[in-house]
Amino acid sequence: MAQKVKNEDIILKVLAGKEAPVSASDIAREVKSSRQTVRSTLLRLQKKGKVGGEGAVWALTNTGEHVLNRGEADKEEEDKGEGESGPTTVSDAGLDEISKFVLYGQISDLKPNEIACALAIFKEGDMQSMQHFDSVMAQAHIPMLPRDKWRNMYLSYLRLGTPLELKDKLYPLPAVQFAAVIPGTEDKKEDKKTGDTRDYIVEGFDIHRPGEDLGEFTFKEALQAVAAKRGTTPTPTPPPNPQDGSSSLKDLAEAIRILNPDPAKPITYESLLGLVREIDELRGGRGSGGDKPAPGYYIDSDGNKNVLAPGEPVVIMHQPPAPAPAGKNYFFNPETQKVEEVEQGKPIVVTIKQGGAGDGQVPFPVFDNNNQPVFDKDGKPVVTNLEPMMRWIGFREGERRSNERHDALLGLYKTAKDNVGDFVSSLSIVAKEDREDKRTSKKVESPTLYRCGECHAEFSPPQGWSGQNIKCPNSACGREYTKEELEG
Amino acid sequence: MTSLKERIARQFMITKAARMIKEELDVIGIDILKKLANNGQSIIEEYLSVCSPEERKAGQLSLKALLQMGVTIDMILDEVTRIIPELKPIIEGKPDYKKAEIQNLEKFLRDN
Repeated sequence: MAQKVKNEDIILKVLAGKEAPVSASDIAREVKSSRQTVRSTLLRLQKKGKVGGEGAVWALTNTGEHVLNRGEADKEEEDKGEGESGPTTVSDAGLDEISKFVLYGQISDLKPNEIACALAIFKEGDMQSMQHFDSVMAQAHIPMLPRDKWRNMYLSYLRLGTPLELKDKLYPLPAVQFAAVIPGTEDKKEDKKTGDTRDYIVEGFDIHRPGEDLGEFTFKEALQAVAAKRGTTPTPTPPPNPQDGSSSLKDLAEAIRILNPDPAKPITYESLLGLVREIDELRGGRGSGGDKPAPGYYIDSDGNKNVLAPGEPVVIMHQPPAPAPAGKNYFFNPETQKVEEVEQGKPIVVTIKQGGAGDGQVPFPVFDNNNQPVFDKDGKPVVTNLEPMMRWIGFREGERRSNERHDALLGLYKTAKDNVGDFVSSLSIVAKEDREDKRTSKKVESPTLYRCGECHAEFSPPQGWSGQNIKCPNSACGREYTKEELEG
Repeated sequence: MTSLKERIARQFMITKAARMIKEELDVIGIDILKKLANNGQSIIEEYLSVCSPEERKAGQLSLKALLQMGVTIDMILDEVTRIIPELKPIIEGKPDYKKAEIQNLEKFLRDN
């Protein structure tokens, strides 16, 4: 806040030194501040009426000159607003927001610590915003009655420093609040404001207004009379003020005064009791202690509804259950697979066989820790049925095999997927080589084999044979063959 | 004469071995291989020097299995040069270097 006030002072001084209106940019350049800061300060000063301008250029107003010329004494007063003590009287209060804020808080009968608390929060925000003011009031938990006073005074202060055309836009006045409306009597709102004039008459349970001062009751008295006739609660009144604890007593005294049969005589205790009795009779003869108790009822064993006389006791007797009628029960016998009948009252015995070698059961003797068979108290060996456990083991083994098979298939698939490319390339290479081999083998003719007619040794003609005689390679034979003999 | 099935199996093993070698060579980088070859340093010795004993043992077993299937080192080198053409000038252009490398491999196979 102090910085804002200093900024305002600096800008006012700068404007005072100018003969012609200047722009915000020029002022910003001169005070070495940003244009935005200067513009917001100028707008704030404009609201206070200290400067004037038409958006582009700004000049000092008479109010601004006056404020500037007040001197150091006024400045000190303004600075005092920053402290938490604040002004002590209206006359020595400063003109800035803080001084006014503190002053109006004091006028609203608030405690100094409440004002200090609100001020501490108030200084942190925009002090020319009523939204911020309301927020501060809520945060400081200021009571509603002094809060309203404080708010209205501060609102008036802000409106004073605002141009006329912006007053209602920036600081609208709150809507006027009238007294609380009694439910069901909204149409008589105007009549209530007429005060104590006796404008009303009461006919039966209705209130009529024949005219101004032409009736017998004020509106409040008429309501009380109707309430007394009806025997209901008194007329609803606005919520009592906690600071005014005498309102209910005052209303009671007023009601007694209205209902006093002889206004000339002072009311006594006896007459008061008489009044209460009369009211009771009007309410239907009910006692002053409360409502008449509702009659009681009971239902007898035949289902008839009977009224209980006042004070008559109700006796509850415990009756033994009636004997069941003679009949027969039926049950399904699993051994015979038939429905059998049994006389009522006789027990149905169901025998469950255990440990037998029945359907799907695997009896197995039970052994103790010492590997000795266990016997029951009759000396028979205790057996157990292993069938569920074996079924469980079988199921578990089946699951394990299934999982292993699945893993193996997955591995196989992965291997095949990884190697299929290499396999195909290998296949193509071998196929290519094979084709080439076949092509070359066709070109090379296989050599002709001859067999010797005498020693049966095999031999072939030498390479480049041109028909000359060939000798049997067997040295023991040595027979020589001509071309004709060989080809013949 | 071997059957067509055996030939395909042998070619498959050659292709797999060459592909595994290619993966290793890609990690090392062709430029480094070229430098080693130009300096006369053995690629196989350099490679085996950085292998762990377990890796060396696994390599020996694989190579011996290939030899038993009739796959020679020449065949594998031919396949490697086929799938990495950049290696061809290194291996084919220096017959002595190729021969020395094959001898290095044979020595590695004989090591215990």
